[in-house]
Amino acid sequence: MRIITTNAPPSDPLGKLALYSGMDCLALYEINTALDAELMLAKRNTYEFEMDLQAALLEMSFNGCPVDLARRQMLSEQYNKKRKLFGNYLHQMCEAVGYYDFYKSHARKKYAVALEEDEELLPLSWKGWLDLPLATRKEWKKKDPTATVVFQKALKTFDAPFNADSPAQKIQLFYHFFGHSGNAISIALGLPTYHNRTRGITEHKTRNSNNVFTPSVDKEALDKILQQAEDDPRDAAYWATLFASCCLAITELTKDLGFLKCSLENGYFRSKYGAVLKTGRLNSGKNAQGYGSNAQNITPSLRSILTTPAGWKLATFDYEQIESRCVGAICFLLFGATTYLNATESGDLHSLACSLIWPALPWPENFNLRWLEQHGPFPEEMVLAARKIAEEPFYRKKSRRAISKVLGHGSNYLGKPTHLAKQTHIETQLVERYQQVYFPVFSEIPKWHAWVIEQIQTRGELTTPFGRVRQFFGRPSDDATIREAVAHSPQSMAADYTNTALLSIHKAILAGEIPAKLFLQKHDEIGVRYKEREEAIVIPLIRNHMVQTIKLSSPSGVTRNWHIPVDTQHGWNLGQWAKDNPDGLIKYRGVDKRSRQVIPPSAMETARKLIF
Amino acid sequence: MTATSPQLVFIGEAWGEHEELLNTPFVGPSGQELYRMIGQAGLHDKTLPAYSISPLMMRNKWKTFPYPRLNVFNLRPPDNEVLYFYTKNKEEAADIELTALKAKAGLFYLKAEYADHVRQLHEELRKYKPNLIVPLGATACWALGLGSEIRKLRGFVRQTPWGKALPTWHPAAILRHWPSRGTAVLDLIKAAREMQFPEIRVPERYILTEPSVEDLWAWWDAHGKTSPLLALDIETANGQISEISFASDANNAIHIPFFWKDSGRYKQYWPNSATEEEAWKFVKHVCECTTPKLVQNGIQFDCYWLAKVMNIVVRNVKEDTMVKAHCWQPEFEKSLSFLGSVFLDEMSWKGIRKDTMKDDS
Repeated sequence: MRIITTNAPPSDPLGKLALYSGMDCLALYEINTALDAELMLAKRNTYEFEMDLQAALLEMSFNGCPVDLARRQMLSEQYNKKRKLFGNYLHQMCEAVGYYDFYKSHARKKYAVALEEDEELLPLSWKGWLDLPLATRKEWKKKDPTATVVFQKALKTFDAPFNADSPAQKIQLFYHFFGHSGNAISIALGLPTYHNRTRGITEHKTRNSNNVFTPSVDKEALDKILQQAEDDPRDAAYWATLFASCCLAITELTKDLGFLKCSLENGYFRSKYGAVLKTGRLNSGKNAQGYGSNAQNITPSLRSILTTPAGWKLATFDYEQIESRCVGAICFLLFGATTYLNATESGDLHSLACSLIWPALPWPENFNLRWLEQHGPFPEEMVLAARKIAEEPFYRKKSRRAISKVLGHGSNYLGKPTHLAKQTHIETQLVERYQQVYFPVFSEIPKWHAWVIEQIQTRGELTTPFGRVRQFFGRPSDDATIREAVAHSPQSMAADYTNTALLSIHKAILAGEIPAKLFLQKHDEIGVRYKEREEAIVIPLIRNHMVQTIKLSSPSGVTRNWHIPVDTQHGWNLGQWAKDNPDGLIKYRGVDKRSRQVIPPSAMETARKLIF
Repeated sequence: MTATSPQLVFIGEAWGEHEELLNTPFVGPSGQELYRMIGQAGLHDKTLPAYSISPLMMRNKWKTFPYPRLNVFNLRPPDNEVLYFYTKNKEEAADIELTALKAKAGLFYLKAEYADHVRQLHEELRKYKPNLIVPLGATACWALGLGSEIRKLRGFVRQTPWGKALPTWHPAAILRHWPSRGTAVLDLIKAAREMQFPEIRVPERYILTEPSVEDLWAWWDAHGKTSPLLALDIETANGQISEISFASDANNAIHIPFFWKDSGRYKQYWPNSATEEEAWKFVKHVCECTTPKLVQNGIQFDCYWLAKVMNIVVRNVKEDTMVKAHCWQPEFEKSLSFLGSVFLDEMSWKGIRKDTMKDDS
């Protein structure tokens, strides 16, 4: 056996590996001891909870979810087709606005100057370049090799269709071609801006991995271009909107295709889960061996590819309005305020908010806060009647309820009217009017905002009602830090409430009390699969574990039981029921009269079909 | 260290508007933030209001601060752009023993006309002979010959010809990206510890490697089974577990290789499959017995690999530094390298593996 000391590092490959791996292990030991000293009691409790959770997360990762390979193939083809179509649109639009010609002719002009040749003699396409006699090309190359390489590169780049996946090309399109004269990209390209516009698009910058501010064309930047657009053709954003929408659609499709093409392990989708987000929410991604992908990113249209083996069924348990309910609980715990908490427990928070904002509508009698305070949740028929009114189309095909849902959520998280208006495409005046009524009615919410701001500016940290402590390192006066801090407690509470349920279910499964397998946790939703014949046992048991009643105590000593109801759906795949997805999820009402229509072939069967 | 030499020297980049005005470094907003941070790190006990104060007042504040503050360039570049002092053209470069500065758009060489500034800095450092130099930002690191990748350099003590250095973020970078401030304060706390002595003190640690199966069990009997906690770390390459290490305390570890890369070829460590199987049996025994408990960095990674590839169910994990770091400060990085820079008095070790195995865990 060989002994390596860290003060005399070895130089042979195996010795170096031993030093690296050994040092990792030694450092791990010492860091663990050092971290122990840093964890005060509250943080230690959170740590112990998260450590308990690891087994459940690993179990979910191992269990995974079978994938309907035929459906995945079909969706992949559909999405690829759509992506290609958007790519074609983008290419045609680029041609129509003269994007390619502009850069090619600029390159030609520059090359002509470098060669001291007549511009008209030089080609304007890569094909044209190849058609030139070899001797001419050689002569030009000899004359100025650098300029020739630059010119060739320009011809090649701008003869190919626009690549919406290339940040460099998008930066050039949006910030140079459609850009403002003051943009940094103009300098980098060494070209004047196309129209030297005063109404061009200015660069949206973000920090890159080297911590340097650089022009960015990510989703946020393209959204900004869309928001910037005025209904005026003199404005560059007016034209760029079409391009930005196309690029956004392509990005979304690429993301979806990424999920559809992720590596499967024996036909199973197995991703990794970890509580690594600042709020304690789970994040997900490829597992240790590179299988699976981010389970939090699965869009509703893609969920149907996740299915169950023959003889098995699945159920999802999703908390109802979890973050709003957490906001209500926080306000009760801090100030003893019950208005918002009662509203969240009324049966339909968003319709109730609509009735406060638009009181002139024919709302059912007694559908108001006073009745709620005296009698508790509204009867179901009253809720249904109110929802019918709230769901009538109101603004740009959106119902009042939909608007109230978005604006209520945004207002809870300190969204300013202008910001919310941009995000939701609702007029600023309407948002202002909404908040003018919303905040006085639910006066505990602005009071809670003020409390969070005070905590951040005086202590720099927040402790959630479940005891999770977080220090905020952002500038305490920054809007972004304050908004993040306001959102932190409800989001963290929601995560911890869900994870507590997950842990409880996992323990019950391990103890053999619930004959089921955990396979998914997506935000506030937990997915399990079980044998079809055991549905009647499994679902009620899991619902019991999900709905945890907590005793809240106000500063004046008033106590109140609080829980978050859960919405259960069941089926044979994770997509919503539809005519073309008869095995999809439907609301759980005790009995499922359906029988399974499609049993996806196993991975081996699919492979056999493909081969033979 | 001479009788009058300071224990600590800070090196910044170049003057800004306020520094140029008063001919004094660190009196502008960056200097004020530095003053606040070093106060938080316990290097002085004065206070500074959260709002901005005048450069003159700031100059007075610094007067009572005993440690020198230098700049690489004692002048202000146009538009505060430090790359003004550099050129991309090698022929215009100064004749100075420093590598090129890596910046936004590639490599930059110091212009010949500004070489005296760097020479003056080196001269001053030679004169001061401090116990510790704290280079703030990439330019200061470059001037000390450490390279310019501040993200990789920060937090670890390194040797320079002018004494040991502990790089951290420049306060101007912190003003632009405020969340880096927490890390910089941690680095300055470490600096307060390191400035007490001039040499680099790293603990001597022992790693047993190239064991036989008998050696493994002998280690288990002598160290492993009696230790209250064992650290476990696996490395993977080519879809397989290439090596495993266990540490019985912070100074002693055993490394079990299975295969490694030498001159572009993978080599098996164990002479035959029977002995390799015996080695795996040892690993399985350590991972599956109930005591001692294990500490890992990323349960989700190590346990998944061990279970999937070797059918080893790790039953006795008690601690995970990644989870612990997340609960300690969710806003910080959780990598071993970052935590090492904060908690260990150790040189950076993370670059070692790159040469030998690309497929890292």
